[in-house]
Amino acid sequence: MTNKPYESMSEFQMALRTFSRNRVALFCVLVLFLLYMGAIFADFLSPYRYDNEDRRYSYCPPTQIHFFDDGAPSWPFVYGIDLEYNEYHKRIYTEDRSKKYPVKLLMKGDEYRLLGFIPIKTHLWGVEAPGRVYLIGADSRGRDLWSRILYGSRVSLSIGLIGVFISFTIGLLVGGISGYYGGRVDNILMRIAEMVMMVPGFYLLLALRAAVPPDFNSVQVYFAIIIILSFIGWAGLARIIRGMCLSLREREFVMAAKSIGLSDFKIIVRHILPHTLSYSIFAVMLSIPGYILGESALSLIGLGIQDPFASWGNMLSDAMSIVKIKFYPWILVPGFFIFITVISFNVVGDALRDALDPMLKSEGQG
Amino acid sequence: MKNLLKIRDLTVCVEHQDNKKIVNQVTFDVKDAGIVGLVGGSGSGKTTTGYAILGLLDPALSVTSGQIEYKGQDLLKASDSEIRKVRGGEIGMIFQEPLNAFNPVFSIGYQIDEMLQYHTDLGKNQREARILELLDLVGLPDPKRLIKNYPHQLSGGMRQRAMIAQAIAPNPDLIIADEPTSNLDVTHQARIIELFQKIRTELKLSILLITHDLGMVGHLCDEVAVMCKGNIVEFGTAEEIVSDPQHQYTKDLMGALKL
Repeated sequence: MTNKPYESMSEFQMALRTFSRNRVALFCVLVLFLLYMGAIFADFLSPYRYDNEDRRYSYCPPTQIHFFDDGAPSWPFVYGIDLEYNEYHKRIYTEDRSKKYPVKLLMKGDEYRLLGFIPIKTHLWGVEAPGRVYLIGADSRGRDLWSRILYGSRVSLSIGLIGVFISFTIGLLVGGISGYYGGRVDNILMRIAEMVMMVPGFYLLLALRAAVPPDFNSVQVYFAIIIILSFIGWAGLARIIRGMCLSLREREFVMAAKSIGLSDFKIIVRHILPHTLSYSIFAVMLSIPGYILGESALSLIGLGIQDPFASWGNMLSDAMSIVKIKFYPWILVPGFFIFITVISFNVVGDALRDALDPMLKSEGQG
Repeated sequence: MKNLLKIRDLTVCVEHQDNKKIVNQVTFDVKDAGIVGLVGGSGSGKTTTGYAILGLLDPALSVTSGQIEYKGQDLLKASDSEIRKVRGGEIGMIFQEPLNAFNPVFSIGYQIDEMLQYHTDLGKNQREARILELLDLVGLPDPKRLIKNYPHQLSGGMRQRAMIAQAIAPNPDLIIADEPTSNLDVTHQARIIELFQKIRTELKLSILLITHDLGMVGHLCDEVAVMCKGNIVEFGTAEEIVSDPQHQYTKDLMGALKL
């Protein structure tokens, strides 16, 4: 070796380069970033709290924000909302042109705690009290759908992350232990994993949910759902990690790690599992959508997050009737958010797999 | 001189093949600060003997009889946590191919540090100073940069030196070197032999050298055990064995050296 430093690109740098060439994936990363930012600052970005309701405005259509006042450009404003009933007693909302409410930035409104600590009343935007603004419409109780989507994203997006974290911790440990020891330990752990995998996911979800007391409050339900989803999710990963560990444990560095006196647990965690990292990273990305959909499915059929708390799933439960979708199509918007979140995670996961898996890459190009 | 390691009637069998004996009633001693060569061809059971000392045998193999006594402690009867203290801390191991024996995902510095973390009470800064000192001792240039390098960034000779640095890090009393030079070219072999002589005189440790290379044994060892098909066929000082081999197998090995 010469005196000149020999520095090659690390595997991580190479992966990053491949990944950053994928424009679609970068765009999806941006989308996810915005969604998570929206979740973190939900109370600041939304004009109303998730439970701020006004039943006069049940299923009020999106409020039009006007930029022109009698043809002249103006600061954006909304008109008041007038409610009439037609001959079929259907609600008809019209603009009350006599009342004008300018859109205010940094407006004082419902009190909340910014980032969970700082009590504050300032919202990014909104209109003064008698006026109401529904950016994408209202739900059955006259709550702002846009605000509820932002609040709901907190539940829907965090369940994916926490659920994946728990189930991957279990999956990696079980797979690592199973693959490293082999023999009877392997047999028992893998049969347990297969028993979990044997039951179709959704029915297992329902069965486990039925085992949880029905009088849980929302926070308890939230954690119950996470635990249930993690319980279902670990098995598949454990099987794959086990397979990788079976081959990794024969490598000489495992013998070397043993020869310096490390305990079995340290050998598994510090010397074997890091070799499964590139697989784990994209497997995490690709399995997050499953958790988001799992939560949505439970909430949709009323077994998950309960009203008045919002999650994308329980907001969609309103949209299970075709009549409602026909007359109030905006109640489907939470579904659109689920859709772009799931798509984004899948695209990013796929791109990560391309970037991290050199075997796949050479096959793809060759 | 006192015996550091006493091996008595060590027998290792393959469980599933009618208890076929891989190592048969092997008996030898390693003296304090002595270098013993364990010589034999492939499959003679020399590596298995080395692994058996540290309890690293493949699960398919088992020790059926004998004693391995290290400083008066029978390693075969030691508990799991006791033998883990001995591994690395008391008896270091050097492998044939350091490229495989180092974990490719960690830097050289980290892997030596891991050894120190487990077997010494040194603080973080002390450990780093010790690593630099060790790398310097084994003759590696620019230790400061090396500790951040990964195993694949080093040449074969440098890796073997790093491996030796790792093995001697917690001041063990015995080092088992399993074919430490087989994958190196002749000039590097000579330098590694010099390095072994140096660490032996400076650190006063014993070495059990497992090799097929009688030439290396002649340069380095005090005593030699020649193994053939699991048996020790000849035991004596290095001079006796090299100058006047008695057993036919030893003569054959010597003959192979002169080719």
